[in-house]
Amino acid sequence: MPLVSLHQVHKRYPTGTEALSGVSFSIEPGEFVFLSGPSGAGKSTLLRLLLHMEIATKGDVLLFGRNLAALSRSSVPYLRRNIGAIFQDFRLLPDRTVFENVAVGLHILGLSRKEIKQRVTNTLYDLSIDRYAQAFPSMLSGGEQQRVAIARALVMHPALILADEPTGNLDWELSNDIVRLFDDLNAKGTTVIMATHDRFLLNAFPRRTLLLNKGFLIEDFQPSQTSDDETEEGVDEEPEEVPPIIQPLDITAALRNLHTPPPLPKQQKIAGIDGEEVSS
Amino acid sequence: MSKPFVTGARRFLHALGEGFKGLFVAPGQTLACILSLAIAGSLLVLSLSFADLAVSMLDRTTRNTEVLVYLKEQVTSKEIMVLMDRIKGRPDVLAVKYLTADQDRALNEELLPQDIVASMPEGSIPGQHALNIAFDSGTVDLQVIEDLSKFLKTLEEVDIVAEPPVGAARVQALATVIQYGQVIAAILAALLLGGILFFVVGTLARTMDSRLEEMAILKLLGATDLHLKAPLYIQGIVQGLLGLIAGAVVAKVIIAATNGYIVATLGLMRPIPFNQPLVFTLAAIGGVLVGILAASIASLRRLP
Repeated sequence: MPLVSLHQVHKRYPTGTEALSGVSFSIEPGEFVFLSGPSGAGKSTLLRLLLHMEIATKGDVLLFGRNLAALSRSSVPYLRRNIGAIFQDFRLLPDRTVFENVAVGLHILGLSRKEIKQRVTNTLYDLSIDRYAQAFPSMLSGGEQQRVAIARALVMHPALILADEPTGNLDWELSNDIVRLFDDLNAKGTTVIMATHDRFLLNAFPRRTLLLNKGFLIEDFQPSQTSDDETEEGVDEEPEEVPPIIQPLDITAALRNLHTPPPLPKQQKIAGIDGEEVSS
Repeated sequence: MSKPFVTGARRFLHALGEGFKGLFVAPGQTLACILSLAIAGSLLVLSLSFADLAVSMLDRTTRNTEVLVYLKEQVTSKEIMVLMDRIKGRPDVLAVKYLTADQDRALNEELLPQDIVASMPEGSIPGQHALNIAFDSGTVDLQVIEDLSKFLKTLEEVDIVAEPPVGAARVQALATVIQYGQVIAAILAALLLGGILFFVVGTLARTMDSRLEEMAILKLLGATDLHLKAPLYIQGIVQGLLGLIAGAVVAKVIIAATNGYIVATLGLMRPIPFNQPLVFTLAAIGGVLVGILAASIASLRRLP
């Protein structure tokens, strides 16, 4: 049974913006999938649908075999406890220490202080940020803050990680580290869905990629690992010119090839995962 | 102990800690809320207690309708017995009691403050034998008393008739006015509490505003509405309880001090009523209700 399954999903915002149009795909447990596409493509909306922050206007979104449209309000928190959500802006609490930031969700589970301490300490150690346990987020670099945000998600032992542009605020090296981290988690069995428009990362980590544009899923492909250099995943230094593994995609041509494309609005405004509006 | 109980207890303890932390998000505002509640609560208790005393005293004045008939010294006991029988036969007369001169003197002493009595030379307080006529307090008509008074004055054995309470009807009317005043004071105090309720809502909303980001994160991590609301309810209840119980304590202190003063200085034997268990129970219930109501309104407005 797929972990995530979308069938002809449409999402139209009250403003009239069609954020997703007839999107269908499924993701099996243990997969690592990139969601890619330009700003306003619908990546954030798709993640919001999976987090039940939005409801599809049409079509079915199935997560862990359950149709999210039919899910009762009281069941949503329990669904979310199986999902680790990670955002571009980290969303850390500035007045709490790293330890407290990571532990914040564990109180929901009603764990004992000892269990919380153990879980948080282990997670911080796994992510190599255990020495910052008593530091405040403002004392950390962007990469370290993102690791704290990842730790906060991982400490809940989620079956699925949804990461929305988690490397958007990081430089190349740190981005590389973060994706490597996701890759390690994926190797341990966690399903990862990561939204990014960073082509360098897509090239460095050839994984199944869902390419969105203006709400349409225009490509769903599994790039092959081609060069010898890429047998060991990730790169240590930012390439000056990264040879694209994904063939440069002519978006216009791709849209032309769709069977019956509905007329696209001239300008789309899509609510991002943070609730802000993103102009395409 | 069962696992759900243990996890539930841990969650409650965590919410308790978060609720107490919330009190310090805007400490000045929290303190102002507690003080306002204390003032409103103490005003409510004081207005009800003082009005109770006033009403009961006025009520007593009108209910204990008595006429004292002072007899001439030479009147014999046989004549007194005949007179008593005649008076007992009158309508509405409940009882007729003979007072010796010493008993009358003792009653006069009781009416004066003790320090004045102590400073007076022995035997200086007058006493005269008399008849004390008591009427049925519930049914007596003032006209009946006045008629009896006129009749007694015509008798040879009678020296002086202490006039029945003049304007008893006015006193009764005053008691009624005070009772209405008591109700109005209670309504005003309740309205004041209602106003303060929104002050408490403001404090809770401020706490929520400071925790909006945290609550949004908690929701994404799988927090239920109860998880998010529980600290707010605890904060509201703590504020309500602290405020109203402090109000009850302030009222108790003021009433105790006032009682001490009126007993020592005025020689009044009837203290201001203060039903401690009732007042503190009502303060606790009121505090919890104020907290729950304020938290419900705040969470309706602000919960993400």
